[in-house]
Amino acid sequence: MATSNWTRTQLEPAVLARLSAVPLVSRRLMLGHLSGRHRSAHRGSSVEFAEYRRYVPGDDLRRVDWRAFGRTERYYVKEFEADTNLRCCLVLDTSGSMGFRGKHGSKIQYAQQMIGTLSYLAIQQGDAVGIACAAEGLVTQLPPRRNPAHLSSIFEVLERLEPKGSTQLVPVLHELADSLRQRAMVVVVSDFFVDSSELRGCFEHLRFKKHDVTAFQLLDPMEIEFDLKRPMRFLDLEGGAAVFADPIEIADRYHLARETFQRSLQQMFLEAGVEYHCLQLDETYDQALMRFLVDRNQR
Amino acid sequence: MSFLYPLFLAALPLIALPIVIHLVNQRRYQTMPWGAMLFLLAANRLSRGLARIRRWLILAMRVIAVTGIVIVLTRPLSSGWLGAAAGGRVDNTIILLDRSPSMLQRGISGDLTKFEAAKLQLVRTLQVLPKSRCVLVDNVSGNPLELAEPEDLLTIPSASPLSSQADLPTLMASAYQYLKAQQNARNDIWICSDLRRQDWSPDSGRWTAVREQFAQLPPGTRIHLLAFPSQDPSDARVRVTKVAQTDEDGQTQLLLSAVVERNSATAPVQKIPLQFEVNGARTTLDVESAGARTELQSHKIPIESTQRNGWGRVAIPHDNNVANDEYYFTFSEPSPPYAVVCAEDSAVGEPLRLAAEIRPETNSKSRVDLVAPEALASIAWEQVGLLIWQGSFPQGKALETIQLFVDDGGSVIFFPPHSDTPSAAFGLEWQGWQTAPKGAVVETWRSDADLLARTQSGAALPVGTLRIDRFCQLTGESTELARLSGAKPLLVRVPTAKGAVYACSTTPDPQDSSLASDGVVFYVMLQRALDEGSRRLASARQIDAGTPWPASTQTWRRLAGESAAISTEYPHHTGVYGTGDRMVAVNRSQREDDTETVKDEQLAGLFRGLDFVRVDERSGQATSLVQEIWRIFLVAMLVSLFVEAVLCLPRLSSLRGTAA
Repeated sequence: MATSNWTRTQLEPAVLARLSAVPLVSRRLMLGHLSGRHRSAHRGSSVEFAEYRRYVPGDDLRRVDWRAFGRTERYYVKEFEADTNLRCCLVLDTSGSMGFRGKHGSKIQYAQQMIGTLSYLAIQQGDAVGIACAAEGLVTQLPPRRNPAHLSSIFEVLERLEPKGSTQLVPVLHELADSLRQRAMVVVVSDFFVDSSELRGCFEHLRFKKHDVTAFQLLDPMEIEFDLKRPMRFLDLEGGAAVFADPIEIADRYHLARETFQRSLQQMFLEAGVEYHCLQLDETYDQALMRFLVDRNQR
Repeated sequence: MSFLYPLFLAALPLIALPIVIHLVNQRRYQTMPWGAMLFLLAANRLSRGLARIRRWLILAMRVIAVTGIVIVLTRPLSSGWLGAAAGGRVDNTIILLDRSPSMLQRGISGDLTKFEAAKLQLVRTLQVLPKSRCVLVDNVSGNPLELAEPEDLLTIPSASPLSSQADLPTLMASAYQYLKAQQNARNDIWICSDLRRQDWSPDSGRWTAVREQFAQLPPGTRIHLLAFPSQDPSDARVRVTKVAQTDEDGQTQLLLSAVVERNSATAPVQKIPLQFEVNGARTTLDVESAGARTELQSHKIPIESTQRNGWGRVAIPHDNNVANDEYYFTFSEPSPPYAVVCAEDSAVGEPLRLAAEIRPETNSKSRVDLVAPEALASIAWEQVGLLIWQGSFPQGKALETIQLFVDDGGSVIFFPPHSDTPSAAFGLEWQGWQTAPKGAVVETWRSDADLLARTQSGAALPVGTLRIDRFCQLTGESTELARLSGAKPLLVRVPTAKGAVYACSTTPDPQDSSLASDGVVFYVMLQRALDEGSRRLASARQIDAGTPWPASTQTWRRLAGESAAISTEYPHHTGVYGTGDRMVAVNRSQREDDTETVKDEQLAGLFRGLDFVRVDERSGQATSLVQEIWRIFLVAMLVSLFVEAVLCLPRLSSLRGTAA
């Protein structure tokens, strides 16, 4: 299969500008080396009060709250929140099924647009961004960096993407969970056509490593509605055997299977503490991202 | 199953058409690259079993529909007669009907006799099969008779039942002769018979010849036997065994002896009303019948004392076979014996005439005519009891006439000619005279039976006192009744089926023998021969159906019996026939009452090596042996199309979904 023909020029400045107004924030504490807009797991010197703590020898005397001493005749140290930078790891499923193309374009193009935009937004606000492409294995991986020049490398990776092979998302996410040494924001974009019970393990692994995990599931409306009128030969985009089927005949069972899968997937993400977004391709990516960003900022 | 138009079977590969279309359609399916195979496979897996069955059912229905169309076009026939029309059209269809009385037994259904059922089944079968030249081999004449239409079989007299036996080997031989003359490749022979042994003569050597002849015909001649071997165990039959006319106390009476036979020896005791009809007057006598055979001895029926002859009938109530439920008989006063002397030497002829003329009974004389050999044709042979022939053996027309006379039961005594010219007839040959210088004597003779038998008182005839001076050498196959010294035959009898043929190797001429001078032996010999021949002379006679009559049947008229019989077939139909003051009662033969049938393996052996199919018919129905069953296939095709249409209908849920 050919590449998805996505180029960085498809990023729309207007959209980027609109989305930049809403910062990309993590839902969890980050452990960055640099100061940033994200809350750090460590106490720092920001203006935002965190808590009082009893003085222990060795504490900086400048942090002792004398007013509290005057009221209680006890020594308390005043602690403040620390802000740090974000490490964002964008995981893109590049298996064959992502190459499905409906009337709204292919899923991989949609995903490329999303990943490209998120990368830009993260770099722009000074966060480190990395990318990992998963198909039958870890196809490409760029570690998170905050250098603006790194954005170009990410775009190059995206432009070279070619959706093929079967979905091996589970081992790839396990591998990522092991390889990311610091807390990061992990955004997985995929159709998740994998057994949800298999997915549970890898997402719990990521969460165990205290990563802030978000899953975007991309589905074409045609895959949801399955509104085909004549018997067809369905060619598996991931290389499996072709299947002859009469959509009219099996539509009910198809919908049943899809809804069952979706429910189990949603339940799995909920239980694993993963933020889950199911996106249909008839919704524009900027709407989906805006909702995602705003939702994060409101929490 | 066979087909009227088997050529259409060539279209059978069209059955594969739906499968080919199915495969092509699969190729023509729009291909869609699909990502969500997870759902698709799950949905397909759930529906795979039923959907696959449904698909196969649709395909099967389409195949059945195409098969149905093809088979309907071939016009299939259903029958146990495998191969009855497998080859399609035939050139000649030969019909051999067993018209014997046993075929008149009714079948299980009781509506039709075997004969009627056979004809109807045959006609309906031939109507179904492609048209061909239809030929019936006549039982009576053995001649093939072409039928314009198979339906003619139901109306023509040559296909009506007879009272005589059938002769299947002869019919087969006639069929062979016809087919040989036609020289067609495809022939069907249809035999309808109840397999009675007397009709088939399975032990006859003629079957070997028939088999060999049919084996020489081109391949394509098939023999179909429609057999009706079933027998009715309750069938009863009657037969008159003796008729005599007596005067007792001034009352003239008929003494009738009859036999009632039943198929089952274990049949319960039953009263059978025997009906006697004599010259139109009917009387009934209840006879208690037990077991298989019941005899009625000398039943007296008074008749008018002035009545010199007449006919009668004995009948039992009709059962499943009416053909053996009645028996005709005739009676008459015995007429004076009639002898014909044909001698080349009047010196010999005169003593012969005298010896034949004087009857042992007082005041009674025989009628004796002295005729020349060339006048034989003018003699009323049906009245003659004895022919005394002196001279060379007759030849040509004369021999044929005498042969017919003998076949009709007459007696002939041959005396040698005076010349030494050899002559031969009836398997005997005169070979020249020999002289016995001292006079030969009769060395041995048969005194237990025949012409030289002892008298009623037990006294032997004085055969030993005869002196033979000259005798003519006689050779040939015969039974010696008297032998001269030196193992020379004096009196012989030629074995014949009917009648009697004797030859005496000397003459009553005093130069040849003392037959005339010691006249007792000579007289007794001639009178006994005359008596034997005169048994047929009575003006009333009982003969078996099928026995040839001596005179042309055109002079006979029917007095009683089957009205459907045509005059040429009178000898084959039960009844009473008369010409002048003579009457003949024709009845089924004794052998016809024999219920033994040809065994299966024996029957198979008769047709060994030939294309032979046998079907046993027991129902007695008139349904065709072969039936067109294309309607069944048409219905099957329509049903399959309907089922296919139903299976192809989209499911209601899908329709609802589409509508929504």
